[in-house]
Amino acid sequence: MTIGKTRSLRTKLLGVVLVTTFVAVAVALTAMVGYDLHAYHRSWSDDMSAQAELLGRTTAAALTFDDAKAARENLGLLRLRPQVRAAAIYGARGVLFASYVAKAGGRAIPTAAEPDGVQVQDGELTVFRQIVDNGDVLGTVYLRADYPLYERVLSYVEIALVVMLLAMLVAFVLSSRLQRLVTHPILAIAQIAREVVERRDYSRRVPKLSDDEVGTLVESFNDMMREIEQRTQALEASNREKAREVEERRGAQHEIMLLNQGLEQRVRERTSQLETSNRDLALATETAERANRAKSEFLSSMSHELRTPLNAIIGFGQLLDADGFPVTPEQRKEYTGHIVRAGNHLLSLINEILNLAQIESGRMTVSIESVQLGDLFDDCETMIAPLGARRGIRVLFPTQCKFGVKADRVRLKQVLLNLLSNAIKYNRDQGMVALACAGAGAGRVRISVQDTGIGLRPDQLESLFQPFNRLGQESGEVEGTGIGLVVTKRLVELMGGTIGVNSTPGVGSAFWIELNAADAAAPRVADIAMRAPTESADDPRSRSNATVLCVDDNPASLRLVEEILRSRTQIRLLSAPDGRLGVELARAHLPQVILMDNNMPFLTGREAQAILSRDPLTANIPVIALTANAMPDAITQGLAAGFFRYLTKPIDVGELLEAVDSALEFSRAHPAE
Amino acid sequence: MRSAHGLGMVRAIVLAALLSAWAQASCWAQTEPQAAEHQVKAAFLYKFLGFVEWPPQSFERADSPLVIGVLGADALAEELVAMVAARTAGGHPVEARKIRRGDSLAELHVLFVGRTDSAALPGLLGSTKGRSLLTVTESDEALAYGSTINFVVVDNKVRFDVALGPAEQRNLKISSRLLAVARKVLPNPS
Repeated sequence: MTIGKTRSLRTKLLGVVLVTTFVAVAVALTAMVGYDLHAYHRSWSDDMSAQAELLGRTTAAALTFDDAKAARENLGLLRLRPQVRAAAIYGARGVLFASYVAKAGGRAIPTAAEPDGVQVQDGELTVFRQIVDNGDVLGTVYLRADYPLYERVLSYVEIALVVMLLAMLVAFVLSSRLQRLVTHPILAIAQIAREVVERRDYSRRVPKLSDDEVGTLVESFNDMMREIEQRTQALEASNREKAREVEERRGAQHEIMLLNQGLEQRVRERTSQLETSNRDLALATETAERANRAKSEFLSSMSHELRTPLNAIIGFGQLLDADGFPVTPEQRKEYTGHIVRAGNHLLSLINEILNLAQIESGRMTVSIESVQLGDLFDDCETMIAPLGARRGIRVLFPTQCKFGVKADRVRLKQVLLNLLSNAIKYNRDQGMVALACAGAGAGRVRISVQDTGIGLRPDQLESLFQPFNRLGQESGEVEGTGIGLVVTKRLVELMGGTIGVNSTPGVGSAFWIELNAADAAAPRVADIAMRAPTESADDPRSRSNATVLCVDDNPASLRLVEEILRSRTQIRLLSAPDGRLGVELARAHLPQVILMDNNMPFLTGREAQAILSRDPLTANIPVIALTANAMPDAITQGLAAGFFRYLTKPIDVGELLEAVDSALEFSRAHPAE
Repeated sequence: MRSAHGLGMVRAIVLAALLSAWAQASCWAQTEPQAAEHQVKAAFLYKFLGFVEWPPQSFERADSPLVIGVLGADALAEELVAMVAARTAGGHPVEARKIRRGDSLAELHVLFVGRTDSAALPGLLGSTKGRSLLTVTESDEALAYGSTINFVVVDNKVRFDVALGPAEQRNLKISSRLLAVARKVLPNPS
């Protein structure tokens, strides 16, 4: 069947037709020949049988009357039938009676009769036939005739071959012509299909030539092609789409990969940052804990430090106050002296604590400028000299100092005063303090304060800049807050400087600071210097009557102010217990000066001052703040808000009087309308 | 070789002689023994019945016997009687009987007259004139007297002559097949 698979349709069709024709013709011919041979055989047999019968009848009488000559004559008539080759008559007992042979040669005539029958042997038909007459068997006839079946078959085969060849030829020619009817459209479809497969051109169509099954096939094929064309287009479109999507996805993946890398990088960075910050945090926590511990220690120390002066104040106060405790005027003088000293100590303690708190909280700001040390030293000398003089200590200032430094003037002065007061405080009587300034190289200027005190041991140096490490505490003879050096150190560091100490026990200590050098510019007049002319103002006691309003919710404070101003006989003092009443009294009496507390019910001092400044009647009245809020910020803000002066509690008597005098002076210069 | 060839020839001739002798012997053995003349004539008599047709009125009934009378040939008569026992011809049982001179010939269909009584033949023929009686004789001049069939012996073989005239006179139809094997057929003179 491999052939059948590979041959073309045309060949197959042709083969089918030829095979069919061959089989049909062969079967027909075989049947015909078979039938013919059969018929021939029968007719020939019948013929010969009839001949034998006839011969029997003819020779019956001869046989009956034993007339062999007559029988031979009868047989001799067979000459007319050349097909008969031999004949014989046998008697009733089967003995040969008469015989006839057409041609000499050939087989011999059987010597005895045989039973009735027709036999074909060696191309000859042999017939035996009994002669029956009136129920008696007279004898037997023997006939031998040609039986050309073989020749007949041969000739039939020849004819059949010729007929078959003719039939095949005709079938071949006919089917060659006619098969086109069938194969042409199918081959057309096959051709188109092949081209479609080769060229991928799905727009090809097969022309429809007929309305039969092939026509239907063509339609179906065309429909299929249409369908394939559409599908192919859709597929190609979707392939393109998919390729695009794949491309996009690849791009997106690439981006995601980049992002991931970036992300990993960032995660690594963040992780390292986190680790760093964790370390920092741990450090910070440790620092905070340390700071907390330090603060707790600081608080307990401070409590102790605050209790010490309070002990003197309350104790001596109780002695003075006690009725059953006689006090001589000398003793009273001594007691009050102790109370005032202890109070001042407490005040300085509180101020320094505030300073420190401010520094520690980071609210301390410094404004760096060029400061000429010469001017600064002059200021310091003015303030320090009296302190040293009290204990016979000489304070030596450099006569010529051309250096300038980058520093906050006020804070630097505070630092120097602190160092100088310490040098005096921890000095021996009749000792000496020497201030010096010198270049320290690399744009630095060193200022040193040398004293002649007992000096410091190395272990003392370590904790020197810690809070409440007051030297000489054991002896208790030197009063100090123990905070001064801490604040000093912080201030110096805020200004970008360093602080240190060189000490020899028993000889003295030298505290030094180093600051960035500044250009030696024109000396500036210090702010603090402005106080001097104020202090040297003309005597206010010569002035005429004036009204002063004091607004304070604390009766003790009111009473203190009242007692202080009693020395000014020309001043009439009004008082109000809260801000609202204060404003009303101010409007009612229009005093020359107003002393204003801040923390009060209903209206704060600040609010009251604001109301008064907005009122044209009272706008020109100088208002002096007299408050316990001693924070530098509050002071600055108060002055900015229009307060004439900003005095802090506890009240310095001289300061208050000076401020009131200044205000009165101002009031006279700007009388209210 | 030559001697051998000669010996083969001799042997073949001897063999052929022997074979032919045997064949002759077997031939004699196979054919019936040379029958006596009366036996052959008896058989012929019987066999004539198949070739001769009698008119229907010569029989009383359809199954009436066909009677053969034999005169002057006893041996033949005996032979015939034995032969025709239980035989039929044309539907009629065949009956053979020996008759004497003077016996009635009325029932006879066939009459054989032997050589010994041939002198009585003309009288017998005359007395039965016009009757459907087949007369068979064995004398030379019998046909001239008006016999229908007359046996002759030719070459030691029994043959017969047929005269059609008497047959026609006696209203007998004789088959041409019989005539074909007769030695001589005397045609009807009329």
